Amino acid sequence: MPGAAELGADVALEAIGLTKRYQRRIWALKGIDLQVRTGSVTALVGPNAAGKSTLIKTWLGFERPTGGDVRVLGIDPRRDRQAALARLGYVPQTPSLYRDLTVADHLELAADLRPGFDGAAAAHRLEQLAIPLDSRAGDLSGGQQAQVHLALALGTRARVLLLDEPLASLDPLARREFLHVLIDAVRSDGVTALLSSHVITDIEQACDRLVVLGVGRKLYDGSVVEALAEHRVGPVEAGDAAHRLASVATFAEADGRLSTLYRSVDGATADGTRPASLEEIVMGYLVSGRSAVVSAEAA
Amino acid sequence: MTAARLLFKTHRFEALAVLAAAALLAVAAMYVTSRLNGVGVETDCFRQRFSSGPSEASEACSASVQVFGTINGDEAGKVMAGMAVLPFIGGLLIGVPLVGREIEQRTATLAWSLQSSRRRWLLKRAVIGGVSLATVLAVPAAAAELLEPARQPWLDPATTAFRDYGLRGPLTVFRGLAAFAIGLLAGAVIGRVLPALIIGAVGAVLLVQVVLAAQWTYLPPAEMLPVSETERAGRDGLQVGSGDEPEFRDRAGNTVTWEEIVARAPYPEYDEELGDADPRFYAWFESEFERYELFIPGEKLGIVAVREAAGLSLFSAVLVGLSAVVVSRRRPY
Repeated sequence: MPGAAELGADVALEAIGLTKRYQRRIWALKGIDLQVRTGSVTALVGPNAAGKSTLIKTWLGFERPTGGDVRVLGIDPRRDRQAALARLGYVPQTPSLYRDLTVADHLELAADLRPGFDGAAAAHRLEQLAIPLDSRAGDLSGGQQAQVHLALALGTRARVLLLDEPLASLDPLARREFLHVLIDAVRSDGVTALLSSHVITDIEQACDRLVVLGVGRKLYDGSVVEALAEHRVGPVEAGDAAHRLASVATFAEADGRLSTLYRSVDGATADGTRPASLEEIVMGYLVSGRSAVVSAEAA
Repeated sequence: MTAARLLFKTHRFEALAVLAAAALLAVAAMYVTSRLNGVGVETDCFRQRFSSGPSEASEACSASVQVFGTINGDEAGKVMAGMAVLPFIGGLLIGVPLVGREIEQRTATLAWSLQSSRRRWLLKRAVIGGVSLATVLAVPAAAAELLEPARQPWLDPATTAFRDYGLRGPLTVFRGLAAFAIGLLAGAVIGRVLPALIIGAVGAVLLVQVVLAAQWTYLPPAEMLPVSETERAGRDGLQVGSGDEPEFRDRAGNTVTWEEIVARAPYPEYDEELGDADPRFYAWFESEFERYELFIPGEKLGIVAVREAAGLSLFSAVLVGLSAVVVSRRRPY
């Protein structure tokens, strides 16, 4: 039964002033404010050690915040982890299947651990992907293991899915297959998904919202469509005096050429600029985040 | 059933190892029991040998007692040595990986994201693991219980109950469960199997020391019993203390000191020429006096066993509870 806080709520995941510090001095998250709307597929993008996994694990109750709050459909996992977890499905970054158990055993295990687990739907999904249910998990490829994790997460019928870089170790074909299953399930079941990833090209097709995380801070938060419409890339000196084309950051292209990411106000453009790709947008914000840290440390 | 089947499948190597060791010990105990019974030493042979010494016993008696003694010392001794370590090794082998391996291999991430109550997850495994361990340990414990009377056929089992009492019967099961609980907690805290096994082994040794040190606080009051009865006359007891402070009584039941005995003796205690104890003194001493020491009579084993089992159960329950607290608070990796 949904709690009172969750009835009518359109925020699936929330972080309010969230900070997380390890070993008293390593900051993983610094004052993150974030809301993930129900029914959205949000990409959480950032480099290694950006705090993506920490953020996801805080919603799961695997990590305790140093400061601030988190909510899952209005429920604070610190106060009621059972209720929060009952609404979450999780796909971890590293496959964590039992090597000696078969895929069918995993479905039985999930049914034993999670009331209401839809084993038939999970089995059907895996059969469609030609993953034999009698295979030992240890004998499956990385892509197949990720698919088993996804099938387990979807089988929970959870309203919110947290996917922690499930694409990182997959080949392009396996990535595409994984995202296809995910999107199909999200559309048919209306669940909310938060997908952290390094692979920006793939999430462009799968996600409707982009959150860029760097050095423990939220650097960008907006819809993918808006992000693509609002950003342009051009030479360093292309920004306009009226500040309708504000410079976000200058970064080096693959060929060593310097380019600047601009945020355009009201669709403003300038000579020599072109629409930015999602990868360039992410790159620009990551560079801006790093520069801000360098400036702060210098000050 | 599903949980038990999957738990066994993921822990089958240690489960089979403990099962094999338990089966081996049980079979060995039964085999040695039949070997001891098969020697067929007359009870009088033992009495004759103990009271008169080997030189006075008949040749037939001496030969059969010697065969019996060899089987008893070599084979039965090894079985009992195995029974001393099996509960601890078995308990640790089953207990440590239940949580430790889940964390080490990161499978706890999957389990704890699926099961909303980690305590329920832990308790289910602890119950399955504990019941399985107790069942497996019960078999060699029962076999060792049968072996013990066969090792001392000249004694009355009802009153000689303390001989190897912790190496046979229900207490071995409770000791195994305590080791299991130590392993469970060590695995939950450390999150790695090998270090947790080492720490758990240290914990098990400490447990034995604590049990030995605390025994006198929960045991029934000791009584001064004649050593001759406790040792050989169909009665024994759990000796309290080191036996360094014996009491001596004369045939009338009066307590006398050693100095008084030496003063009354018609023979010197030591033979100066022989440079050793004077055998005439000790023959006279045995005819006139009785040495008493503090013992808990064998009949009271039931009370001792119940109290020790209760203590070990409480200890195990506390450790499982602590494991539940650790599991509910720690990261699954």
